[in-house]
Amino acid sequence: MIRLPGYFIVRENRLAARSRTMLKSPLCLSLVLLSLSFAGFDAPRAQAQSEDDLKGIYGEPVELRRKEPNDLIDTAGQFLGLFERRSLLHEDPAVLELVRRIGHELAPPPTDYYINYEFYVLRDPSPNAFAFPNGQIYIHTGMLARLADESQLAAILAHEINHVAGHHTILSHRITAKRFLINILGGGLASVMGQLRYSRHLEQEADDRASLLIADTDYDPHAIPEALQILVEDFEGLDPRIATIWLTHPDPEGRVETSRQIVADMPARPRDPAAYEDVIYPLRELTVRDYIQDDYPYTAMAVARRFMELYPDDLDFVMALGDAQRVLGPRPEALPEDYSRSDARRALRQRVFRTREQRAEELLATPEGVANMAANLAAARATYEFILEMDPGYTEAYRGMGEVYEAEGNDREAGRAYLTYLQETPGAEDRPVIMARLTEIRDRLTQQETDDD
Amino acid sequence: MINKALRQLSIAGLATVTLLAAAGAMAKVIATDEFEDGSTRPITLVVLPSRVELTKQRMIRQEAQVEESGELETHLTAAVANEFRAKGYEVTVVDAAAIAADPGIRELVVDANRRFDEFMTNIGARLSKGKRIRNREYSVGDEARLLAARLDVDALAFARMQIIVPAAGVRAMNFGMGGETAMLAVTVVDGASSDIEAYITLPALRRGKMFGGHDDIVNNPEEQMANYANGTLDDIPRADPSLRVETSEEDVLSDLESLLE
Repeated sequence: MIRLPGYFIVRENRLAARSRTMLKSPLCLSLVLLSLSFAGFDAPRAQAQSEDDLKGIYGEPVELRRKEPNDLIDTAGQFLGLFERRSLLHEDPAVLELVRRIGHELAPPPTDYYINYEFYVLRDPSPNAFAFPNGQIYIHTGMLARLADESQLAAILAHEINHVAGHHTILSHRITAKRFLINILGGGLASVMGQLRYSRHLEQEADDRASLLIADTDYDPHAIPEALQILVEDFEGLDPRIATIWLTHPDPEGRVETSRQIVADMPARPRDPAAYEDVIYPLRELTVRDYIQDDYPYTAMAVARRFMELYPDDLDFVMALGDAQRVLGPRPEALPEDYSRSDARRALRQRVFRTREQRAEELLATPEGVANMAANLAAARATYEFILEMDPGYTEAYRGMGEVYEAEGNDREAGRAYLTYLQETPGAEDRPVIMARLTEIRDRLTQQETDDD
Repeated sequence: MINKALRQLSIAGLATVTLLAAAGAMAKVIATDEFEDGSTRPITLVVLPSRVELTKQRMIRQEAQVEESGELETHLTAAVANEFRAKGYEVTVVDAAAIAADPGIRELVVDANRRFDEFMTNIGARLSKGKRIRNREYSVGDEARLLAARLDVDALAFARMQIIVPAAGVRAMNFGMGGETAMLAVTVVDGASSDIEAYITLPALRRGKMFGGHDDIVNNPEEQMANYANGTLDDIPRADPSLRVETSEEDVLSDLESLLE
């Protein structure tokens, strides 16, 4: 499994928070439960062994023991049904064809009856991918949207394939059981640290061996560090960067550097971003919208700006930038330079335990928050005005203008902008949302008139 | 000595009976005033596919029972829908097949669930305190509005259930404490405002094995899910079209145009 910055960390912490409540997402819980077995654990005997012994088993079968067919293989298979029930399987045929073609090109012949390489795309904006021991490999739409070309996609898939081919989950699962006795005997901390160390080792191994898989294909191995670089990006400032000894994955910067060294002497191969772009474009737009919707405006802005460079004439990404600027609200336009780990920890806590509205309310109680709000709304308004200047028929910008005015407390202008939007866009999909806002504006204006009288 | 012990036992028994009786009367329905008085209480609602999390706690790990959870979800969704119907609501069930058949609805359902889960994470156990719900301080965003409008209903119902079954070894390690638990919450979200209108949970003493433990649930899921749904939703007020206040789109637009002139 690939380690994630910001976005995923919040999900993990949400999970921790939610474990104290009854309302947990079964999907998240299940994934984390299974990822515990992914997380890998050092065998008691391994402490006395050299690093070289902490390896996956490649190219030869690993026989399952006792309950493992049920605990690992059957359960893994059931997740496909779960994702279907949650409507999370992304079914764009072109995207699936791309992922499956590259995946099957990279996958080695299965060594065991229980491995059958299958590739799926999950509807999730976080940049992640993961593998089950039965050979099912999932990549998120958010990861596909952040990649630049097929070689980078091959790098991600090669990493996941190595987890399956190296039987990492099975080995980790066995070691968990062995470690249990140490935990009982009071060696919990040492045991956990050993387990995490083993997990990091397997992750590094999956990275390192990705170049071996890619070397046999036409993909460029230099794409591996590029793909790993995505995991370093933490636009939201939510990654407290805890010490590596407490992590299931190696330090992300270290992973990039190590893979860079591994591929340094390998010949570069031609890349074709255009072919990838043709297939992935809809996911790019979808993912930026998801970031805005999920309240990750810094990520949305960074990614939208990247896509604006790729598509200079595409106003959809400019619109997304405007929306992200607006959603920033009372947060600063960019994270301060002296932003520290403790700031990240605090932001993370807030994100887990406060609603969006509560977080905004707290910031607006400070003069900085008020100033930031004004600046961000002004920036958003300028972006929407730019869009209308470029294309007066791009009516969605009126919706954005309405939202800016409403956030500024200018109900009259907001009402006018929303009405223009509805008049100019009769079939607007978000009409119910705009109508709800217009209803609130009407009620406020009516109340205001009553008060004035 | 024996008399004293008997007296103590009878006092304990009486206390338990009193608590159980009180629990029966303490239905945990937290709702806005408008839901209570009927002005925003829905007439039509959609029950989204419910989510059940059945977990076996083993000594060294927790095992998500993915397949069994799926079966329970189907029964729970149907049971929750039946309970609402019994109270006079016009209920639509959007099952996975219907969602899969319509990419537009599918996107909206995924978005609405994601936002709802984020909100629930933020609020967690504080939701049951209720004050903020009554004050309409909790909204689950535009995603719910869009979905409700697309499905042409007044409200959405989200059902979440958690069942934890500790293995015998875990119980032994906990000195017999911490048995099986089963908890259910149904949240009604207003389609127009996306506010949480009502949050309904199983009263504390109705939880757990009051309706049957893991074996009963697995052996007779339909009946057990019906019991849980009934125990949770039995106390909600009936749908009453005569109380609901509807606002037409035309009224809003014409009012607004004259206000802006």
